Amino acid sequence: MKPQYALTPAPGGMLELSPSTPLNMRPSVFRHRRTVVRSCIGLSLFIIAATATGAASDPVERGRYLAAAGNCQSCHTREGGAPYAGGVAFETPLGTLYSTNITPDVQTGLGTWSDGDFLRAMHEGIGDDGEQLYPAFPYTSYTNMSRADIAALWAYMQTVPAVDYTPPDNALIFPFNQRALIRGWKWLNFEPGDLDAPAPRADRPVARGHYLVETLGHCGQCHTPRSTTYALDSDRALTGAKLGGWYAPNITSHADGVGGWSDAALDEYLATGHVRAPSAAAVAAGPMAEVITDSTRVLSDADRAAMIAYLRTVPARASSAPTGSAEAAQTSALGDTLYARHCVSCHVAGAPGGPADAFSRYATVTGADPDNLIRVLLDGVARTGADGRVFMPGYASRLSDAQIAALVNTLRARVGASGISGADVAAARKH
Amino acid sequence: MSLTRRDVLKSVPGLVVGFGLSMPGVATAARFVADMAETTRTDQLRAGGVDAWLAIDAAGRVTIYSGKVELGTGVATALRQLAAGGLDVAFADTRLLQADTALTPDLGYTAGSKTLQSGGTQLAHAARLARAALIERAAARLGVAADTLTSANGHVVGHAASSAQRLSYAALIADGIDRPLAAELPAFAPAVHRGPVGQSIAREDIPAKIAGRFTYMQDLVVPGMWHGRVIRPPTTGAFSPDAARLIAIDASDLPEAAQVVRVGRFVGVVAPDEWQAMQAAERLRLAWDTTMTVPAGDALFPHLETLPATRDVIRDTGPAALGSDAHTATYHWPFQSHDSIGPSAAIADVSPDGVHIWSGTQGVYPLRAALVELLGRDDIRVSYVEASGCYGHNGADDAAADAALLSRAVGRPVRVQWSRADEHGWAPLGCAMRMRLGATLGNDGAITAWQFDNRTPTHLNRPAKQLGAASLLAGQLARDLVPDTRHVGGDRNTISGYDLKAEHIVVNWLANRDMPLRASALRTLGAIQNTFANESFMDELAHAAGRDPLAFRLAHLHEPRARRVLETVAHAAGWQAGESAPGTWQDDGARGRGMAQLTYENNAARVAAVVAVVVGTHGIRVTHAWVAHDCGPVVNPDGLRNQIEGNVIQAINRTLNEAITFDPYGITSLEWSAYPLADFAALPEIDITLIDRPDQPILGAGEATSAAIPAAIANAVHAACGLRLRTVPFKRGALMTARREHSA
Amino acid sequence: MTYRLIVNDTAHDIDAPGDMPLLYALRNHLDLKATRYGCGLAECGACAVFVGRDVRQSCVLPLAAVDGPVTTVEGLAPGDALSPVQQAFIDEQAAQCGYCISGMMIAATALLADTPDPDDAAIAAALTSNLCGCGTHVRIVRAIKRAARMQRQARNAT
Repeated sequence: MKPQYALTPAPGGMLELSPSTPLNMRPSVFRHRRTVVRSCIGLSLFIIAATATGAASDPVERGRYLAAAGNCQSCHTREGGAPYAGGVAFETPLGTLYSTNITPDVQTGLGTWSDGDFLRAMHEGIGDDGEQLYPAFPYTSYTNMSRADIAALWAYMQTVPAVDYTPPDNALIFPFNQRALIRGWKWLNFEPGDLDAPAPRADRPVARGHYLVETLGHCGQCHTPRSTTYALDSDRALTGAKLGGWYAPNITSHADGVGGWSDAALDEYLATGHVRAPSAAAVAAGPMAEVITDSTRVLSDADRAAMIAYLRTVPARASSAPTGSAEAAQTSALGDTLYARHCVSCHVAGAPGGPADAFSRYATVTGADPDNLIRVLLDGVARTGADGRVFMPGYASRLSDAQIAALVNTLRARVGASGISGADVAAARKH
Repeated sequence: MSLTRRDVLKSVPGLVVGFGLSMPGVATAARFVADMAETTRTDQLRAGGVDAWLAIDAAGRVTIYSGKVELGTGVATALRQLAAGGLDVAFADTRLLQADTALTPDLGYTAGSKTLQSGGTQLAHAARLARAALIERAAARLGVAADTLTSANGHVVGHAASSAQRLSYAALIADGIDRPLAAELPAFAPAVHRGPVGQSIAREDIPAKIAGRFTYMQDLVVPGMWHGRVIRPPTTGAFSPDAARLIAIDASDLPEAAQVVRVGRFVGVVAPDEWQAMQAAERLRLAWDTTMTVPAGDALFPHLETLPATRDVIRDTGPAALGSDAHTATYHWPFQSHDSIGPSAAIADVSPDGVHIWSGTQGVYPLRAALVELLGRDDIRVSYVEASGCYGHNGADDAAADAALLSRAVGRPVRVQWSRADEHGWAPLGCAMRMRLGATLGNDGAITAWQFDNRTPTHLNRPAKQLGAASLLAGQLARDLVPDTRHVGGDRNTISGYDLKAEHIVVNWLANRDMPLRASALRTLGAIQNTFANESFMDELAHAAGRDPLAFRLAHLHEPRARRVLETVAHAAGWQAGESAPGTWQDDGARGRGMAQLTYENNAARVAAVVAVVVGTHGIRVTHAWVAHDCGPVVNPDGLRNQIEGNVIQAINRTLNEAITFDPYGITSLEWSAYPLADFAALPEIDITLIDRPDQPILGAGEATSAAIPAAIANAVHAACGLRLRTVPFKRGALMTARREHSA
Repeated sequence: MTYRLIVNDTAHDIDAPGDMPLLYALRNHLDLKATRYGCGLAECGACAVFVGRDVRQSCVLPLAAVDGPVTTVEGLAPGDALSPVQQAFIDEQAAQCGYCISGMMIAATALLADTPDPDDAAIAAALTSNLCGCGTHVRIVRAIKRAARMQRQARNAT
């Protein structure tokens, strides 16, 4: 049905109607770095969607798609900062690292880099001055990218607006502030890939999925536990790990992981960030919400299917990380009040058994590890999926440690999960 | 159904007093008239700046026709109290007709806590003149001398207790002879406390608000109206027209009944039903080409330093440069939001017969003038309807312009309701500023030279005739305009008010065209920023001089009323000399108190505050605030306390929690969890001492208190733990960073 | 789709989409304007109403999910009468602009139904879902305590 128009012509401009644009481009209420996505949404994502096969012939467009698949933006865009200008702090047990400015700015970014410098950084983890790069930059994954894909990515990065910004200096504790040490670490933990092996195509879905999950998407950087040398523990690949106050869950096909999820549910999750009961029930928040927003929602259907096909081949193993107190959560009058006031009005919709059922299937609520539930209550949810925006307020400024603990316990008591204390919330606030 | 001034001023006899409500000093003129509808046309009642009328009809009822508006501060009640007190009638026999360009005079804006100061004084004066006129007429009728008569509750009576002389005002007015009066009162007469003046009369608007029967602007319904929503660029709040270019509109997914309106970069949807309009706004797809025009969120203050500025020397009695022994400090204040709970709404009916706008604007006439230019016609009437709390130039005017463009396009009345994200993202902001101070101390610990230098945008981007469409968001978007506004507000309270022998005070004005975001008037304009700097710096100097901050202030402060409020608050708080020596950090909470004082605008209300805080790893909590307040005669003590309490709570939150966040494309704090408001946990105790001065002119009340709180908190934090915080807000993260840097 | 709502003890049939929040049914279909829009995100409480005995944020609650009788500020007391909470808010002059006050009174009424003598912490917890921009907080707390006293006295008198 065509709408009527009451159009006043713009001075000197014609109204132009485009074919249906697949992305919602309204200002959002998002507050985290996701606003960057809101802001740059202009032309760029418009075009990504149009070329979402990943097989565009234009190297810049292919590079744009690869940048999304590799999710460069999430780690290289600080809150309030320009896209790709760096400055995101990574708290590690060894100190704080800051992501670099990878815009083409000559003074502060990659403006003086050659394509060869870029290739060496991606493939070998070595900077333009020959310095060893800290493996927080996941070259251990990117090393398996093909030469052609790195070239396309480089072509795209030349088109990103140059931004004059110098990230803070890394603040690592001795001796980890000695870059020479990285050489030793690499000797133990790094195996360069084959630069001239072509990137797998869609006709080999498992291989393509391996490339998307392990190389471009570097999923294991969050979902795989680390060894004592801070390298990924390949024997426990994708079985879940803790990072920055969040728990990145088991995504193997074990019952602890996504074994109970249908392929359709996994696909819905990667495209939109949420899955509804009964197949599974999950919502992406925190870092995974960034992955959905910046990366997986704009991948082609075939590429998402390939990722799922590959994940199904990963050995199913029990979860590595979950922890939590043994004490069962207890409900309380305070928790009940807060639950009624803050949760029910939104979460009642679509809950088959009414308000009481609204949370009973979500791993974030029912899981052995309560960290993600605490984090979601503190930070809220802000995510854009292929189906639009999802928002939940954060309560960090509104509710006290004791109040959030009471709310978590009321939620978890309903499903017989373990409880927490206000001290757990206070600890979470420090992240 | 449209009401004209003639309908209101009915064709009945009356006593009418014309006066200059917004222009103090205008000669007040009164006359008895046979036909009140004709009164405001007579030359004498319109002459020389007369812009308000007080009318008493033959039933003895008093009506104030005022362009002043109730903004949720209780000012309507206070104005009625002053009229009733001056005339000596019952409060219940008065009413106030609020701003409407067809009904009330042009009074500019209700703003800056000036309603009672400029309007109330004039109104009280007009009321006393009317009373004198009635006594004079009674004296003539009774054949006695006027000085043998007085008034008593709507009557003229004999002075003597035994007197049987008694004539009602109604009877005196009823014969309605149109006769000018010679009566002239001095330009200023003190507001003697009489009748309801000085009493805590309950506010007239509260019962209806509590019963759920009050109609806010957001609730108003105009017959036949449709609902509109505006879809703005994704570069939220960016001032530059270069920030976003509209490339394409796709309306294929809209509900059938919805209509799309586009004027330049202004895009809206209109639908018969509000939910339909909201759905349509969600489903309309716009493609924009965006550019980074805003500094990164962590680069604002360095960015402000790079902008060109117009230099204004406010005071130049001291050296422009200080020696190396000078004490210096730099303070920063962020962009802040209006905190109204209800986002702005407005209704416009643009028809061939004329334009009628309903808005919660602070100034119906300036808005009308700007709309005249936007719409290119002058048959526009603007009616004020009270909206959700208003603390300055919020989105009320912009929503009216939105509604006007939408109504013009669809040819029917349109109501526009801004969303929460609209209000947080597009309403004008409170100004970000940098204040740099320097001073030298003599051997005796006294200040020998003082230097102040700030950078500020104008604090006044309100609608105005000379700016036209450029002063309205819809005009800015429709025509790619940036208003070229005069410099206002950034200089407010740059002068500290202390007796300083050598001062050099400079304001550096930043131009709108260089500002990344649109700022305008928010409570106190620049007074809160400048006083935060001045009063923090006084504390720093006191510690440098080894003096107690109270004694140090008093040693430099000679104006008696300012001294009195400072001494009063110190006494109320039980201030102990030396108590604010800097303490040491304690994770579980160190306690301390700090003080600050100001004379608002250097000539209005005197306010002093003492604040107690507890500081620790949990952040900063204000536990107690003491305020002493002198605004001349106190018209309504409870109403004043209500305002002061509100200002304390608001200013605490502005200091501790509030900062607009943004990235290079625009504003990112678009809802309440990103921009937290004060909550009910851990409310401070608030002790207020009102210093009533019935013999003095009425001064603005209320918002002055806001300006005293931030420095008092900063000084209290220093007393508690030795950390000196110079950048607002003092969030937990900033506190912990200061702690790390302090101990490093 | 038509939904039957019981609002302030009166039944209404509302013809509207099931995903439309209750707020718009109250304000635009039933002309009950005391329930107000503040954020549309269940953050501010200006739209709070009772559904049964529970407080809900009507700006996000879909019409189709309303599972009990609705009570708004207009229905807190019969006719022109005022409830004890309303009377206490007037007595304490606990409003500045007053836009948030409807939601505050709903939250207060719910609190006092379960907690006849609430302490400061209980009041603060009951108001975590309500925001006030004018800074009327101190008076609102005072009004709730006064309402509690009035209710207790009324109960003792009977």
